[in-house]
Amino acid sequence: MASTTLSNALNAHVGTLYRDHAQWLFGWLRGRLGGDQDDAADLLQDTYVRLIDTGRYPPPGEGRAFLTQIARGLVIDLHRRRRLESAYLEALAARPEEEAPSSERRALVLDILVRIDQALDRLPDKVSRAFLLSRFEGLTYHQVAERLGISHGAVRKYMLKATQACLLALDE
Amino acid sequence: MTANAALGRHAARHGLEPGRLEAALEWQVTLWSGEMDDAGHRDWAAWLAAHPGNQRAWAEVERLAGRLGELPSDVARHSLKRSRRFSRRQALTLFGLAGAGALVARGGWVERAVADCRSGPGEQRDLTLPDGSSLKLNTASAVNLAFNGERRLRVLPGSEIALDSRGTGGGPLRLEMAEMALDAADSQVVLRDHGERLAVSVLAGRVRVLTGPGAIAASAAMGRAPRAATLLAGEAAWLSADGVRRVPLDRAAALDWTRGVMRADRLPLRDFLAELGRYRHGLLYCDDAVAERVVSGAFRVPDTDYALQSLAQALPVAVHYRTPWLVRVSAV
Repeated sequence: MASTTLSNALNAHVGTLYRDHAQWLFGWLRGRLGGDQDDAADLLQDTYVRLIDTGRYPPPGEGRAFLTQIARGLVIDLHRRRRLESAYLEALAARPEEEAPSSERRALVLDILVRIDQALDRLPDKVSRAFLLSRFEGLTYHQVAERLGISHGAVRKYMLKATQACLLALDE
Repeated sequence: MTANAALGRHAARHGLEPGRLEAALEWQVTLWSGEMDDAGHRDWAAWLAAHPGNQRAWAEVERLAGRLGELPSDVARHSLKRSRRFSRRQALTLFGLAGAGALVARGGWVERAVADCRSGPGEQRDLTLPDGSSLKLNTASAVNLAFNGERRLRVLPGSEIALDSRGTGGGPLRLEMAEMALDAADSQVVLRDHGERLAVSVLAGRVRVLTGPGAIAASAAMGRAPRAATLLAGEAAWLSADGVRRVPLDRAAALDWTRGVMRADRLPLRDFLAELGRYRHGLLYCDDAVAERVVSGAFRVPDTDYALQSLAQALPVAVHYRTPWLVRVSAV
């Protein structure tokens, strides 16, 4: 069957990519993760899993560049998650103990933070700033316009763009 | 991938029409403006009522916006900041800590200094602050706390709060809104943000008020001077960027909501529903034909379904639940 054939071909291809580049990629990752072996090993596996998930594989000769591109994204995401997690934990530490959220809730909030942070990263600076000022500083659009030195119409346009990006990023 | 392709895929995955989903997103953006008037709300209700597809699209946007609402805004503000050049400095002036270099260098100081308290529609919360002050939040309200040596509360638009700081020691206790600030140390105060203006009732102690550009540190840094006034126990006032307008204090009325009561004293039905609607998700509205009917009485909140039931018994009106979040009141 066509799909089985394709899947076998893909697996064979992934196998080749693993054999040829895993050792090198492990070193590359370790260099970018401050020498941490465990993180590097985790992200090495994640890189290949992500490769299989995409269902696309690199043209001959470009395997290393292709894998590096995936791995670079994963390193950024790991740093992002760690940074957001520590900011979140510090915010929690300032609260009365009885308000401490459950571990499920903490995981939920961190997941949402990561998704929003990623979505905002892909938007122009003023668009993401307008969104943050409106949603988390509680400013009206007129106040956002004044703060950013842009027109009220531009705030609305930016908000539409950012709202679409952020809300769609929150789908399960 | 273009933004609209993403929208189309999302719509397809959830069995929605892309055009209606896009319209629902536009309505969400309009609702978030903080500048929507009655006519706007009615346009929104009309759009919702016009087609079941609109209601499905809106439900999806509301679901996703609800996930966004799970984010505590203090965490979001200080971990999602984009431009370092812009944001770090801005956060500093906002919190009145410009020049506090050592704190910045340590990193994460804002997160340690602030906490986030909010109540959803139909929720009320009772909190004790780190300095021992008691803070009550009425429905759909939010404040961000900065209690780190200083005592500072940022009150988000639309919020209603009661703060009792009597006997909690010296030093200012700042309440900040857009272009307004209060020092409410050693006092009992109730305030409600109505958007362009703020209602303040001082039940005990004295409250110093700053209004206009420059009331909060960020604008003060631009060299604009705020206007100042003092309100004493037993005084109430409307505050706006234009200044302070004193009004008689109705002590019992100011505290009604803290006892779970909403009192109507000859209110037009339209205004009554707007008030009651604060305690519900979605929209509560009435036909023009009954908008001027007069409502009086005490209603239990936050249980608004019971209040609506009482309303239908007291007046010749009918309550239609189109969906739980779209409720229309008409003539019988």
